[in-house]
Amino acid sequence: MSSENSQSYIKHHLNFFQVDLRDGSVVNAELKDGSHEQCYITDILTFKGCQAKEMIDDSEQKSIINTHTVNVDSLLVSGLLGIIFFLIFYKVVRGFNRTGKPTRLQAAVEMILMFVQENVNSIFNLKSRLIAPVALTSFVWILLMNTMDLIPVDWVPLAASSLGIPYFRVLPTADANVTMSMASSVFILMLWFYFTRKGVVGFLKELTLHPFNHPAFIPFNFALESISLLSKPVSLGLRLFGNMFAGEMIFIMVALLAGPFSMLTQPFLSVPWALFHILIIVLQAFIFMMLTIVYLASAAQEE
Amino acid sequence: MDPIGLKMIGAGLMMGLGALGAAIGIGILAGRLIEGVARNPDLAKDLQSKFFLGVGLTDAVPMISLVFGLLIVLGVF
Repeated sequence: MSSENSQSYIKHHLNFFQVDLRDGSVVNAELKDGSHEQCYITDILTFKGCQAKEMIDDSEQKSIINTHTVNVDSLLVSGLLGIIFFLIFYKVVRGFNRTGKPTRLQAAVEMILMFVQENVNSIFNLKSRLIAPVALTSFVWILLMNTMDLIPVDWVPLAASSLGIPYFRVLPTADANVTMSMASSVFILMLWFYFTRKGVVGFLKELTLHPFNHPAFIPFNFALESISLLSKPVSLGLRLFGNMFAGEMIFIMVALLAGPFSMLTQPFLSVPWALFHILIIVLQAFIFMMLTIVYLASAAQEE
Repeated sequence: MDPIGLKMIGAGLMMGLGALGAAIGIGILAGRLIEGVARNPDLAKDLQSKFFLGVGLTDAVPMISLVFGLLIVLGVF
C-alpha cells in the first residue's frame, strides 16, 4: 500500500496470508528490519513483524494446486464467524421464551429459521434430519462471510500490517478454496444420500439407465449423467467465488481512482456499488442454500 | 502477434460475450416476471423469489468468465 504503482497495489491486495506448512515460512514476506530475510510464522507470533516482499520477477509458472500452503486469513475469519453464528443461535435457543413477548434477537432468529424451513418444505416433502440444518448453516454462514466485503478496502490490511502481518484478505468467500470446499461437502453429502437411500446398485442404475431406459444406451447415458453430476459442485462453488471476487475487485479498483477530486468521486462510486452489493450478498447466500436443498432432495427422493 | 495483445483480446471476448448472455437471459426472465405478476398479483412474492433464483443461476457462468477475464487482465494468468 505504500507503493505508487496501481498494478502493485492490486497485486498486494490479491495476495493471501499464506503459510507454507513444510517449514513454517510466510509466503512472499520478509522481515521488517530491512534484512530481506525470509519471514516465518514464529516471527509474527512474537511480534517481530513481517512486511511484503517486492516481487521482482514472477515469470515462472506457479502451479494452481499447492497442497503444502494454508491460507491462514481465510481460515481465521471463517472460523471466527462460524463460532459467532453458533454462539448467537445457541444463546437464543437456550433462553427460548415460548410465552410472553420475545426479544428482538429471538424474533430475528425465528424469522431466519422459518424462512429456511419454508424453503425446505417447498421442495422436499419427506422427513430428513439433515437437509434443513445443512441449508440453515449454508445460508447464515455464507451470509456472514459475504458481509465482510462491506468493510472498507484498506482498513483491515492497514490494521494487520501494524501488527506485523504482511497481507490479510478479509473476505473468505473470495478464496476459491473456501467456496470449493463447501461445494465439495455438499457433493459428498449428496453421494452419501444416494448410497444410503438407494444403495450402490441403485446409484449405478440411475447413472447408466437414466434418460433412456435401455441397455444399449448405457455409455451415452453414463456420459450425460456423469457430466451433469460433476458439474453440480463445480458450478456451485465457482458461482459464489466469482460473484464475491468480482465485487471485491470493483471495490479495489474504485479505491484506486485517486486524483485531485477524489473526495467527490469516491463516495459517488463506492456507495452505489456497496448498496448494490448488499443485494448480491443476500442473493448469493440464498442461491447456495436453494441449490443445496435441491441437490440433496433430488438425491434422497425416489423417482 | 504479440502474446500479451492476444491475451487481452481473449479476456475482452470472455467478458463481453458473458455479459451479453447474462443480460439477454435476465431480461427475458424479468419480462416473464412482470407478465406473471400482471396476470396473478397474489403470486407476486413467490414469483419474485423464483425470479431471483433464476437470476443467480443465469449469472453463474458469465460471472465465472468475468473473474477469469479480470485475472488475465491483471496479469495473474
